[in-house]
Amino acid sequence: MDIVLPIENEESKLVQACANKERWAQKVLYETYYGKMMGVTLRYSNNSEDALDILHEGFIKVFKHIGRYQPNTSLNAWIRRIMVNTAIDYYRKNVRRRTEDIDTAFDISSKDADAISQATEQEILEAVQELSPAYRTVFNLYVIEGFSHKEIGQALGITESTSRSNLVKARTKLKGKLSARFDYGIRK
Amino acid sequence: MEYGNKKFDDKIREALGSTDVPFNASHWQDFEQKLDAADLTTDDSVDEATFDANVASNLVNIDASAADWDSFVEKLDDAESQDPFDAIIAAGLTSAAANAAADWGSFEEMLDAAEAADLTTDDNILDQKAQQKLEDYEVPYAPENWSLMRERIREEFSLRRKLIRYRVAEISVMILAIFTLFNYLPKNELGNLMIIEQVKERIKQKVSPQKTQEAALQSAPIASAKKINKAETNGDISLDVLSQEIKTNYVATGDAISIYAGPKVKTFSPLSVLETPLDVSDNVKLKASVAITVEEIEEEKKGLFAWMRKDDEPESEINKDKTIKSFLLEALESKKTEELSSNEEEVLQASKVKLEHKNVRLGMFTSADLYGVYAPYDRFFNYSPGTAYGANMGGGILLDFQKNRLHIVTGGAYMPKYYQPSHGDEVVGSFETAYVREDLEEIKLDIVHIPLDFRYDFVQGTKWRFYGVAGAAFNIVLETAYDIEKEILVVNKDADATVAITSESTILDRKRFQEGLTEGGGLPENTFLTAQLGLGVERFVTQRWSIFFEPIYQQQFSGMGIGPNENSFRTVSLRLGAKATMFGK
Repeated sequence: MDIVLPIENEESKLVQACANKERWAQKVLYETYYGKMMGVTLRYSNNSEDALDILHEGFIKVFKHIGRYQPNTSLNAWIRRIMVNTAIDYYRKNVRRRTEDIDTAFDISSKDADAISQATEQEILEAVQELSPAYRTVFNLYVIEGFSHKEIGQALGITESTSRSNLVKARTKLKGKLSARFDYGIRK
Repeated sequence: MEYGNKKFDDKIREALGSTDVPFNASHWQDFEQKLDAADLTTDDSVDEATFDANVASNLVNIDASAADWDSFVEKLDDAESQDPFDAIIAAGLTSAAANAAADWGSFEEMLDAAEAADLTTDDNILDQKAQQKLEDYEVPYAPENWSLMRERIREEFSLRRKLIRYRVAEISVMILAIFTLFNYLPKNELGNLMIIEQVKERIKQKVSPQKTQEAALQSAPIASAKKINKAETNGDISLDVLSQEIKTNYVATGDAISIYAGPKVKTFSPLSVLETPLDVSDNVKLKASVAITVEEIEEEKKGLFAWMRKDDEPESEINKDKTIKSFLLEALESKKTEELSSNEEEVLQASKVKLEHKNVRLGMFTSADLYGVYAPYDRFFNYSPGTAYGANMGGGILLDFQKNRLHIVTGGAYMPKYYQPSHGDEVVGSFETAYVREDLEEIKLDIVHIPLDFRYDFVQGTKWRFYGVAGAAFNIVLETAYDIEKEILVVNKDADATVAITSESTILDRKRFQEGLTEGGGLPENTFLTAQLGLGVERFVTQRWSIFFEPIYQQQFSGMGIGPNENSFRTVSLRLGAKATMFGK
C-alpha cells in the first residue's frame, strides 16, 4: 500500500514537525537542503570545514525560527536567505579587514573570456574560494545574490565605495585566477 | 602602467623629433604669389603720428575733477550690479543646493549605469558564468555530517544551554536587586548584634578581673574628687544625687571610674545608670559585678557606630541603647552564678532586654540536583518498575521571614529535570514501506519549584547559624520536550521515506505525551507536590550579607506521576546561595 501525499502537504507537515522539534523531520529537512545550501556556504568560505560550520549554524537558525516561515512562500528561498545571512555574520565575525593593492592584480589578456567560459562550476567555485573574504563576500552578494552595493555596505558594515572597489578587485582577481588555470599567457 | 606611458612618450618624441620633410617647389610658388598681392609699401609711422595728435587734442578738454571720479565709480557699480551673469549663477547655485539630496539618487543610478556600461566583455561573461554555474551549485549529500548536525541540535536545544541563559539573567537581576536594597534600606538588628558582640569583646579585654576589682574596692573605698569630676564632665552621671552608700561603691581604679550595677536597680535599666542622672533616693544598692567605665563605653560606641552610619546620618539612640543594654546584661549574666542571690537573679531576668529578631531577607541560590526518577510498571511495554538517575543544575530566589529562631521560607526556583527513561527500542514497519527503529531517548522537563518551608535555628550566633528545614513545595511543569529518535533501518526504494516514517504507528504513539503548562497543557497534569527536609548552615559575612549551604531532600508525593511514563522524583539538592536583609530590626 503506497501512501502519496501532495508536495505542499508534505512540506507543511515537515515544517510543522520541525517546529515541534521532531528529530526525524529535522533530519529530512537537513538531507533535502544539504546539497543546495552547502553550495551556497561553500561560496562564502575558503574551505569545506568553514562551509560546514556555516551550514550547521544556518540550520540551527532554521530549526529555531521555522515557526516564522510563511507556508505559501518558497522554503528553499527562505532557508537560502538564512544561510546567506549566516555567512554574512560569519564574515563579520572572522574577517580581518585589509586592503589589497590592485596593482598586484593580474593583467588580463583578451583571451581570458574564453577561459572563463570554459571553466566548470567546480573551477569557478575554487577560484571564488581563493579570493580574500572581503572580495569573496562582496562578489557573492553582488553577482550571485543580486544585492546592491548599498545593501552590501549595510550588511557588511562597509561603505558603498568600498563595496564597489572590492567588486572590481574581486572580478580582476577572479579572471586572473581562472586564466591562470588555463595558462592563457598571463603577464604580471 | 606609468612606466609604459613614459616609454610610449619617449618613442613618440623620438619619432617626431627627427622628422625631416623634403622641400616642395610648388609650395614656394604659392607663397610668392601671396607676397606679391600684399601691400608691403605702406608707411605706418604717418598714421600713428596723426592718431597721437587727435588723442592729445581731445584729452586737453577733459576736466578730471574728483567729483567726476566718484560718479564714474557709482556708474561702474551700477553696471556691475545689473550684469545678468551674476543672477544666473546665483540662481543656478541655489537650485543646485536645494536639489542636492534629490539629485544624489539619480546620480547613484547614473553611477550604477555607468559602471554597468563600463563592464568589459570579460566582466559580463564572468558575472553571468559565475551566476549561472554557482547559483544552483549543489554538493552531494554527506550522511556523516548529520551526526555533527545532530550534536549541534542537541547542544543548542538542550535545557542546560537554556539554563545557562536563564541563570545569567537571573543572577544579574538578583545582584542588582540586592545591591539596590543594600544601599537604600536602613540598618537592622543584625548590625546591632554585631556591634554588641564587638563591644563585649573589646570591653571585656579592658575590664579588670573580678578579684582585682574586689581588691580595688577594698583598697580605695571612696572615689577621689578628681575622678568624680571627670565623670561629671562627661555628663552621664550626676554624682551629686548619689547617696553616700553609692559613693562608696565608686572606686577609682587607675584613671577609670568603675560603676557597679546591682539587682535592686529596679526603676532604671543599667543603661540609665550610665546615661541619665541617677535617682537613688531609695535604698539602691549597687554591688560589684563587672567593672566598666563611662569613658570606655562612650569611646567604643563612637568608634563602632562611626563605621556603621553615613556622615550625615544621626546616630540612632535606639541602637545605642540596645548596644549598651546588651553588654551590661551579658556582664551581669556572667556574674550571676558567683555572686547574685536568687532574688537578684529574678530581677536580672525581669529587667533583661530581650532582643527580638524580625527580619525579611531576600536570597538567591544555585543548586546541584541529583535525582532518582521512579517509573512504575509500564503496561504498554510491559516493563517492571525501575529507577533512572539524572543530575542537573537549578537555581532560584527565596524570601525568608524570620521571627527569632523561626523562619518561614518561600520563593521560586527553576529546577529542570532531564533523564533517559528506562525502556528499550522498538522496531516497526513493513517491507512495503520501511523498517523504522524508534526510541524515547530523553525526557526534558522545565520545572518551577515553589517551596513553603519552616526553618528553625538551632544555633543562632551573630556569625554562624545552624538550622533545620522542613516543608512542602508546589512544582509546576512549564515546558516538556521528548527526544524521540527515529531511524530508518530498511526502506523500500519505491516508497517515500518521509511517508514511511510518519505513517508507522508505534507503542509510543499510544502513550500520552503531555504538554507543559506554557505549551497549552492543563494545570492538574503538570503539577505535583513534594515534601522536603534538610539542614543548613549560614555564615554572615557582613551585617547584611550571609552565605548559606543546605542539603535538602525532596520526595514527591505518590500517585502523581509526570510524563508518558508517570514518573515521580526523589531529589537531593545541594544549595549554595547568598542572602541579604531587606527589612528587619
